[in-house]
Amino acid sequence: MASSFCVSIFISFMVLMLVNETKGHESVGLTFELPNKEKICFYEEFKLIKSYVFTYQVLKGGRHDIDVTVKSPTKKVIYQGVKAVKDKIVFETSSGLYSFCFSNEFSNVIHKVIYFEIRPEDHRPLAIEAGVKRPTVNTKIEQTMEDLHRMTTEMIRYQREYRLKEAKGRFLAETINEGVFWWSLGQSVIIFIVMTSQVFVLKCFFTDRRKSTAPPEGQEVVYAKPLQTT
Amino acid sequence: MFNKSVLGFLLTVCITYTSALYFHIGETERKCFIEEIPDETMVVGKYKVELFDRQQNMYVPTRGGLGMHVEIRDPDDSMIISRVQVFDMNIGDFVHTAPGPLGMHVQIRDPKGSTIMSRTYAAEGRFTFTSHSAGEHVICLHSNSSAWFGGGQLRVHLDIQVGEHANDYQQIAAKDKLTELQLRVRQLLDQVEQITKEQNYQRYREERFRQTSESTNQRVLWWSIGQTVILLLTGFWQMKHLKSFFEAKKLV
Repeated sequence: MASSFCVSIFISFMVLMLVNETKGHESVGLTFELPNKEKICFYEEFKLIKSYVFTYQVLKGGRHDIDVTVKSPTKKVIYQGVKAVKDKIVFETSSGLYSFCFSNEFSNVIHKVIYFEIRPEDHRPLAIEAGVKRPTVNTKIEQTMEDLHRMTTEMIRYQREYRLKEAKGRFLAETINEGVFWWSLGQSVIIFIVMTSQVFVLKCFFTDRRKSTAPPEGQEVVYAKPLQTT
Repeated sequence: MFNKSVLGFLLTVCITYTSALYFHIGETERKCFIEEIPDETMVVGKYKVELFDRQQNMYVPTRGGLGMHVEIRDPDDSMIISRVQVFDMNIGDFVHTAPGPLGMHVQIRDPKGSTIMSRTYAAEGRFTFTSHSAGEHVICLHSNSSAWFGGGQLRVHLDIQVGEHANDYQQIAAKDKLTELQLRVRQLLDQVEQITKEQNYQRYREERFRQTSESTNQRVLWWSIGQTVILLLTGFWQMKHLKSFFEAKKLV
């Protein structure tokens, strides 16, 4: 009973491991919001020595800048971007834990929306994506399909890039739209205030003089005379 | 006894092999991710949460009910998450379970900001949903930790796959009895379908962008007209008012 229980656990974990082996290390692409004065690190453990591409881009917020640091398993800084807007790096992984840190600590109020992606430089063959561990020798038709797959993968990649650019442009357009709306309201209010206050200040100049000069009788004449002559 | 040690060993094996991207959050913190996806697109998310153990000075799998709350919102304010499954070690498969003591709260929001899914799951789990409308879907995670757990650190492993990457082709091949070549065609078909959906969504987004730009243009136009009118009216009123004032005071 106990052994069968163990075996079932073992099998289930083997299945899990297999799933992770075959499905793991696919490209990761995440979009997240980083509040002001905050920092976040993402960690990824690589097991294979392979060429990986790391790209990031600030989609929303302020001047679209962010501090980025990538560290190798030996804690060596392999990439550093200070107040960077977007970048793309290719790096050879060694087995171990890599950290990808984004810092918005320099910003006092502005939240940033950041997209980043970590993917292998070469594309994964169809067979690998379907979960086959060791793909067999390709026939000609399979080779053709592989070519097709390479192209569709490229298309998806371009579409994603375009989508991100569009998102960035759209966020900007929305900010401008809102800015124009509030500024026009504000400007109208300012015009009204200035116009009415101008009139009342001007009126005050005249009424004040009359009030202050009114009580002493003799002086009124002295002040009135130069006024009438001008 | 033997059982426990084996379990422990297997757990460590499992930990070393599950190597999805991870990040750290405070026990009461909440982290959100945005997925901009076309409609009718499947999203599969897998997560695992570990708690920092001060005695062992390492992150250990949480026991006794530390789970995660998952919240998903779609653009149309409608509930899109239909089910959330949790890996059951005894059965060896993903099953529906009641939330344990320490779980994960997953919240998913749609583009209009309405919650489509908000549920608490166990420390390790999987959530799937298919988008009904295109747009920004927000996936939020936070643990169901209570206050006395307070200042602990959580390590959250997260893997989100969108579109054709979310498909399990081994399962599809087995279910539809496909040969290897048929499966390859199926994969290509799914990719092309994904491209089509994305292209269609692109059209919608371009339209939205243009509407925003047109709205800005309109606002600038009407505001310039409005401002000119306001300036003329106030100027006219100023002159009129001051003139009558000066006349009343016999200054002119």
